Amino acid sequence: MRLGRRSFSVLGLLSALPLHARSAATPATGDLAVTLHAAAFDLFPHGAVSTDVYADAAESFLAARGAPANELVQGLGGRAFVDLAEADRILRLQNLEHTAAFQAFRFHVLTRLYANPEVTRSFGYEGPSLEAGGYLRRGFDDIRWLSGREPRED
Amino acid sequence: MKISQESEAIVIIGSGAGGGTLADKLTQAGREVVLLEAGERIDAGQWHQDDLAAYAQLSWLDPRVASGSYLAARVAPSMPAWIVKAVGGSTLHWNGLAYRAQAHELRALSEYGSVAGASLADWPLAYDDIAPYYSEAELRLGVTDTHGIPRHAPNNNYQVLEAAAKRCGYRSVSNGHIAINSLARDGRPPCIQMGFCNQGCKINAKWSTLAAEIPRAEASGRLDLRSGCQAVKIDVDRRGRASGVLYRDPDGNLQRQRTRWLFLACNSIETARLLLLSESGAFPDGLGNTHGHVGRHYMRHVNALAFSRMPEPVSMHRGITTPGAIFDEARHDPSRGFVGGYLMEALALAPVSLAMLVGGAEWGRDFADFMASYDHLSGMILNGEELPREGNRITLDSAVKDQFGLPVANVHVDEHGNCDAMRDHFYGRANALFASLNGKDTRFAIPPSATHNLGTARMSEKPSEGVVDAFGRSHEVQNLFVGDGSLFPTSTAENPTLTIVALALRQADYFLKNVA
Repeated sequence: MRLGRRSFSVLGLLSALPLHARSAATPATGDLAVTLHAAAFDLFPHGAVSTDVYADAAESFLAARGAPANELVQGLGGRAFVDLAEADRILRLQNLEHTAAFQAFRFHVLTRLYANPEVTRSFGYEGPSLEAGGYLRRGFDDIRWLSGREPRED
Repeated sequence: MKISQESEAIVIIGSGAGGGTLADKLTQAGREVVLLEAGERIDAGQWHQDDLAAYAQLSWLDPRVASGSYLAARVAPSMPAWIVKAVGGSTLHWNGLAYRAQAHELRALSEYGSVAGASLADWPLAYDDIAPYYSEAELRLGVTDTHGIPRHAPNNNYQVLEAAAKRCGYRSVSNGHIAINSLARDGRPPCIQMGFCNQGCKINAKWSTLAAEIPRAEASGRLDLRSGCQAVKIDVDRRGRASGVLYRDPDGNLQRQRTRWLFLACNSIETARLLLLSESGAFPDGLGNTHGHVGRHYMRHVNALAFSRMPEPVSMHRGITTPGAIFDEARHDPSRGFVGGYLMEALALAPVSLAMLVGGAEWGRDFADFMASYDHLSGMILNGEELPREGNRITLDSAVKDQFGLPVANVHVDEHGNCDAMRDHFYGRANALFASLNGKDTRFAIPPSATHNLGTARMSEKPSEGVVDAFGRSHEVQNLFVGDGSLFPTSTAENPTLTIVALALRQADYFLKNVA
């Protein structure tokens, strides 16, 4: 694969991730999957989230929604999308954001990402708590920065 | 226990806040009751602390059609309402906010005056008529700050709301009046601040009819609960009385239960739909609909979400989902540019729901950064009075049919200008509240699916102006009652569940003393 020109192209970013961030899962293959993988990251770019999460979102969308996936990749200009600079990729995505295919993909990636417990744990969300006895003794009222704060002056 | 289908029974349709309460009151008073519930019985052990899984498990997913100019028609056209289809109804997923309506709100037309484009009406009962039933309801539900029941310790998100409120000069902020046990009570444990209140409280610290009224009614030996049974039509006899309820059983077979007294508590969309489906020679426009008000004056509440990034962590997900509210704006004060009032309720959302609701159509770095700041976020929801309109109504859809071949509900709304005027005021106040604590990147959204659905069989003094009388009894069909939020002539600013329970208690008393 050719690296993009700008240091912050998607492939540059992905290859800069520490190896332990990648699992033993098969990386995205095929032009459609690779393009959708890049687009998934551009939609919700979280550098600290494993690349596998985006690959999985791309592959599962491809498996479930073949026609919109094709349409989206075509609209992005095919696999060459992956090698564009970030600003150009964003422009291409913006051009498509009113299409049904884009919106379906966006919704799909959103649910895969933000319902993923590992991902949301990295944001500080601690998820289901019944087994841990709720948050009653795990910080439900541990806020301390409110007291003693000076009122904001306008 | 089983009641014969041939027996002229008391039949209640719907097992939520209204129907469950009625079932308990009537069986405790020695009456035998058939309780039909379209949904399945799904107990707490089966519930999921997971927004998407819980939504799929508990929600009424049978299609409706949203029409009109409102948001749901554009972005959620088959899901205008988010309510529950299960034994216990929407008490399974409600937030537990148990606020009384205010006295002046029951006189909305007299207080606000006539508003062009709205169909305001005074309730045919005064606050003093319902007050004793509010008190009884608060005792049943275990509402904090009533009957000596202590408030919960305030969680982080509530403390943020309270601190901001004080800085902005608000004086009426409280985390009381919540129907979630603060202590063990009524055979249910105290809250352990798990969150996931909207996904069914797995320990039943939060009140629901599934946790309380239904088991009590069953223990009486006089309740015949038939779950998975959806009513499809009400028959009338030659005297114009309801004579039987046709329903589909869990195998999809058509059954008929003869009835002597019938209570509809199907939540306001299905109550209206069932009446409209029950046309006959005597009632060509639907049962009890001679004056044309069935389905009309449909109301939700004016809602909007607001989330802001605080300078330091909040972890809003820890604890009660809506842990308290600011009440100062619940007054009627037209100098603000709108009639009626609103509450600002602290709210937490899990990341996926936050992304779906507050994200709108957004994407990109800016949005991702917002999501990644999750543990610094604090949220609130506007809950305000929505004006009734004649044209906002439930009708039978002309095209879409349900699984039984019957027309689904068409839910038509064109929002009155009062809604956006109220929202605009809220946006300004929310911005001020968050800014007072140095909150940044405040984002707003309007949730498309209504959780409060009201007004479609409204109470009235004159038969020509409503569907039922001050006790929820049909003006036209002497053995028919309505026992859910359809009764409300106006929405008030407050979450409706406590009022629905109070009205059901009052109706049960009236029925037992004066009718049968």
